[in-house]
Amino acid sequence: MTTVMIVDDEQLIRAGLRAIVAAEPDLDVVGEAADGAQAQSEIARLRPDVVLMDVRMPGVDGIQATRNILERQPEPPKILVVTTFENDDYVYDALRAGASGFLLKRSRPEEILQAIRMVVQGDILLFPAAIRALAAARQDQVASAGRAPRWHGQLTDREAEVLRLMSTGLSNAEIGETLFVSLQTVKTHVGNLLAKLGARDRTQAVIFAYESGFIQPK
Amino acid sequence: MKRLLRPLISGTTWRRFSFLVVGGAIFIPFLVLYVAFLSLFGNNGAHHGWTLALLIMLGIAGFVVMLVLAGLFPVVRALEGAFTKELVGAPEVLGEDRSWPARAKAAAWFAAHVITGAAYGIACIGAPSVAIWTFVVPFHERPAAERGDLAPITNSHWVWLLPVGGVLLTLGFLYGTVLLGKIAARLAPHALGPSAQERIEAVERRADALAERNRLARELHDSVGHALSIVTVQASAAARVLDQDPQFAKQALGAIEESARTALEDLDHVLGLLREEERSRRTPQRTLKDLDELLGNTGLPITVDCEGDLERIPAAVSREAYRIVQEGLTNVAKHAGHVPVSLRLAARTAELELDLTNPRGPALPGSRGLGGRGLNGLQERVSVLRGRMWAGPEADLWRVSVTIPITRGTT
Repeated sequence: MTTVMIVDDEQLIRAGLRAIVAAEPDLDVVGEAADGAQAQSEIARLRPDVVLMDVRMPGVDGIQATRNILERQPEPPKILVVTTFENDDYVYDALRAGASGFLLKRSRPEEILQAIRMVVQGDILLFPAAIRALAAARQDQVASAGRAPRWHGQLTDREAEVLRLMSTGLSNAEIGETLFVSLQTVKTHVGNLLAKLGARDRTQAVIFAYESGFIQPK
Repeated sequence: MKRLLRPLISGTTWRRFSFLVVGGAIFIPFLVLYVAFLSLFGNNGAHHGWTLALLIMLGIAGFVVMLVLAGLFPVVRALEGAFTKELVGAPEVLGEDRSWPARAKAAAWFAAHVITGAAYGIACIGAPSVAIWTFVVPFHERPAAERGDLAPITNSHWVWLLPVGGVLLTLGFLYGTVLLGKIAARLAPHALGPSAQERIEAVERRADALAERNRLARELHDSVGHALSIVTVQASAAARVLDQDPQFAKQALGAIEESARTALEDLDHVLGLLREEERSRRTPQRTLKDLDELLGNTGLPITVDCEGDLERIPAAVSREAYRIVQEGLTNVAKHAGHVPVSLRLAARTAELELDLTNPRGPALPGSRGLGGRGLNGLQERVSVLRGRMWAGPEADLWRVSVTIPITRGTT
């Protein structure tokens, strides 16, 4: 059973998401919160597996809340950021802060449920195309100058290859098939490269890769 | 080599070439006119030495004066501007300033164009002719004792150097054309481009338009986007749990109806803003001088307390203050209803203080976020003017408090 918590300042959105999620036999909604501050204390108390987190909220917003939770909580939950619009700067900020993926409020219920299940598994990047688009838009705004981070030189060729495949949205198993290596080997590579990048999960790793110019988003 | 040749074959050079030639062409009717004008004074033809030189100088000066006077006419300026923009490729934007300094600059440009054009026209005919002549002379059967100033050259072996001179002359002419064109392109923006004042105004207009667009985008995002999200989530939830939980489905339908209605209202509001923007582009923007009219229109009981001389507040600050009061009063009417409002305006030496307070009314249904949106827009504008803004509840009052620095040069 996967436990889910819903954070949104709009009661009607919470109620809708709760109805969709709670109707699934393998998912359970354990709590709700109406802002970031409340979310932090509720998550510490209820220890959900997944949090659906609205970005724009009064007081502590979704980005700050995500950052705080991931920093302060041992074994934090997976956080899925929920947003109205795709081309939202805040979404990118939330992903940078360590959210595992994002969902649009207009997503179909099946997509919402699939995203929750996938993020629990944790071995696939959600919405690779959208993340690339966000990174590309960011690149236009900020001149991507600056020195390449140290990890560029530290990745082995195989790890670099795995990172590139990850960014296209392949799962570990698919990466294994593409590179003709076992799933266990892929997992080892992923673990190593996450450690070298200092990334929490694949989403953050891919974002770092785009940001540092290791992968060109365009 | 390529870099040396490129200017000679580039279209830009030859467009500028035609610009120079046009100047020469304009010269001719002016010359005819001027000669006709001079002939009115008769001609006794008996001047010599200094007198003649003086008369010629006077004549040339008179001609230049005539050109400058012609250039002062706005129509000549517009024509000359169009020529320059099209053929020289500069300025990118023509100035529309009608002040005398701007017209004088354009007139000087016109006169310089015509005179340079005339000189260039002569060079244009002369240089190729002379160049051809230098090539012909060495092969020409010469009578043993040719007369003339050039005889010592044309009659010696030095004659074979003449074609070299011809080549140099041609090159000089060609690169002279390139150089003149470049000079024209460099000077044109100063002579005909928008003045500093015009450029500032253009930048301000762009900034205003951008701020307005951002505001509308935010309005749409927060209002219609928000409502449609509710509609989507509630509808998909209702469809999924219809069988197990008909009660939820029923509530969801109610929420959908309500959200959609709010979205339409908000859309109406935003479209209204767009129309308003269209109108405000045509009418001058309002400032604190128009405050009385604004206060009269609201129908709310308002106490106004003004300190200092509001007249001396720069226009940008005054416009902003007007908007803040306008937005504030709209919010009061929307959220608190018909309640007494108190407005305090104080023009201090270095800043304008604005305070708008009203008792908080009962929270009206559907009023969520509405105040916040308008306030966000104001906040952004205030920060552009380096001001500070605070808005929020204070005891049982709602207060909007703004301080905007008054700096010289803010127009």
